[in-house]
Amino acid sequence: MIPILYENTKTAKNAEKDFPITYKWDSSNPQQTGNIITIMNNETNQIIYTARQDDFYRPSFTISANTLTNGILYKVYVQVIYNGGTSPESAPAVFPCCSSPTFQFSNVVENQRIENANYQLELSYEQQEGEELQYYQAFIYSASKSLIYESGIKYDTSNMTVPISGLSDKVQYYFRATGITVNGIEVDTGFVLVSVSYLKPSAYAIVELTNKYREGYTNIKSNIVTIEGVYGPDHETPSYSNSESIDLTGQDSYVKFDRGFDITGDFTIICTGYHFTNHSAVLLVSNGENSIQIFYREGSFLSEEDQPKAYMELKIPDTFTYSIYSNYIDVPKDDDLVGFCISRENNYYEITLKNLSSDGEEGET
Amino acid sequence: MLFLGQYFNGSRQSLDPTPTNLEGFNTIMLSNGIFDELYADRKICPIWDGIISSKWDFDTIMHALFKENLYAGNVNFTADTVTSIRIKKRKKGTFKWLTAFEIPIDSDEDFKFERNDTYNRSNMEYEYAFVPALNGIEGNFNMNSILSDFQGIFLVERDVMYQALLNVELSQQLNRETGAVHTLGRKYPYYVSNGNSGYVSLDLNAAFIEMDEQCDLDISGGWKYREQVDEFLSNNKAKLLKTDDGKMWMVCVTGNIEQNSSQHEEIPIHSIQMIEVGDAESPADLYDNGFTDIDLEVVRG
Repeated sequence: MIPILYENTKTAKNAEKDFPITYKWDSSNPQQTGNIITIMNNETNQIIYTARQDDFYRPSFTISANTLTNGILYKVYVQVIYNGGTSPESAPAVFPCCSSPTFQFSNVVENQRIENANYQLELSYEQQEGEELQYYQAFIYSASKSLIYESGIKYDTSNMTVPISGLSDKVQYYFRATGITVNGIEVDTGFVLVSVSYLKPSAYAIVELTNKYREGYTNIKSNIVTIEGVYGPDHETPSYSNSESIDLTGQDSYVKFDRGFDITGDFTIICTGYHFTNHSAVLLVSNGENSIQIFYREGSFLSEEDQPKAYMELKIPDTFTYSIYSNYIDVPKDDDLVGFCISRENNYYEITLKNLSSDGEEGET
Repeated sequence: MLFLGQYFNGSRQSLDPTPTNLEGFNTIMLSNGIFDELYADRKICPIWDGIISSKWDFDTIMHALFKENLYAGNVNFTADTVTSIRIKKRKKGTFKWLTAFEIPIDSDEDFKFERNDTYNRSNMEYEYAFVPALNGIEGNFNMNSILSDFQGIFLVERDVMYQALLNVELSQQLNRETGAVHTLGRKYPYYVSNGNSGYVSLDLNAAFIEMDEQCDLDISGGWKYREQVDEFLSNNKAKLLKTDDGKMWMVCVTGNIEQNSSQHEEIPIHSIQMIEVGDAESPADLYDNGFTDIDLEVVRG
């Protein structure tokens, strides 16, 4: 005739909120008429709290908020009062008290719009007393909260990311993540509603699909184009400016694209950048034997003014060198974005130069 | 300039140097500056408005953005960084993907591939995704969708399929193992159902005949075609039977295969009995019955 504390007594509790302590009192025992609970500091064995409930028939005791203190390990045992007397103490159970952890998505908020079919969920976890997270998992639900994906249990809590792929355009989903701390506290982000919307190419697609009505199958064709440039000189790493531009102002620095494409017939090449070196070739287009060279130049060309101008020269060395010039623009400032466009139609070339930062008027050709 | 009534040096390029005829450019090199974007396409742009299109289409040759990498294609990977491309598919509105094909990649040329997926239902929208994989680890999905639709019925094995358009009649029966056990002194029997048996059996009547691009029937040569169909039906392999209203089963042909010429002497009607032997959309059943070599999504037990 000894009450038995349930296993969940050992899970961590938040002392700032009410929580129950429950136990099993076998039906073969005399009927309970009340109970006694005793909670001690597990380290000092000092009794922190003791209480008695008479005329109480349920096998539980509710500890009121702020009776205990977070950050301390406690020991608890109970006794049952019945008509014939009081039972012996139950076997004690040890449990920690700690504040509720914060567990949430760090890159998803309610009603967020996601503009990609792929997304990497990121989670953050904090707990005031240093209670660690044991594992977590992420879920995706449909707009009607039907479960459609679960990530499985993940134990690496140092880097809580969950990559998800294949989100459909114009669809709403609920994201949710749950976890358990080392002392059994359950954490839950709740359902977070997101909307997915991204531009899909209407005619061209990397995945080209054709329904073959008469033949009864779906044709799948790849339009993957893989081109990667090579940086030189060899054995050096490229230097990027603001993660948006590549710096090739160093001596002998270049980027060369020589795989995965072939340009024949009419074409247009556009290039934008900064700090083009005066009287230097900034672009070279070659077929291995002949090349189109584009030079950036500055100089004074108008007799009425002293102000220097900038322009591009397109030169094709051959038996008779083909050479044309772009329009003039004011010499760009150091941080002005400049762009030039070369267009070839039936072997005739046009070249245009623009200051994209000032969007000023083009000069004379 | 108008000279003796004729235009003289009147076009924009009149005073240009003699044009050169160079083709096959396969190298582009940048140097002597800080570069933000490089773009090339097959369209003509004699007057540039300062804007570079962000969309990739059939005329685009390359587009490099130099955002911490040197990629200039329409994907951020090359043959050096992937070992295969997985073609995945799913029914639109569902979330679970099935790997339909895996294309090994050894060189950039391997990225130009084409496949035919014969395992789709009719009247159903499917999504497909190309997924780059490096030794089994998958990257981001590139997706598209298509409405699958066809006419008639098809019997499909892995590398061969036969269509029947004419005189198609299909009846089906759902089979279950149940029984009623009568006992003495009891008004009502006991209902017994042991196991999970619940498979479809089908009776198909159809005329198999070849039709060309102009929808003309090859009647005179039809007997050769039907011999091939008989070989196909009697090879004891599982097949997918799919109909134009969206039904699909994984079946095996049972019993004898009858041909009846009573309606038309040269277009006999086949009578075929089949039973369902698996789930036509289960990765495990497709793998076990030889429809695919890919078992990435197969879950046993």
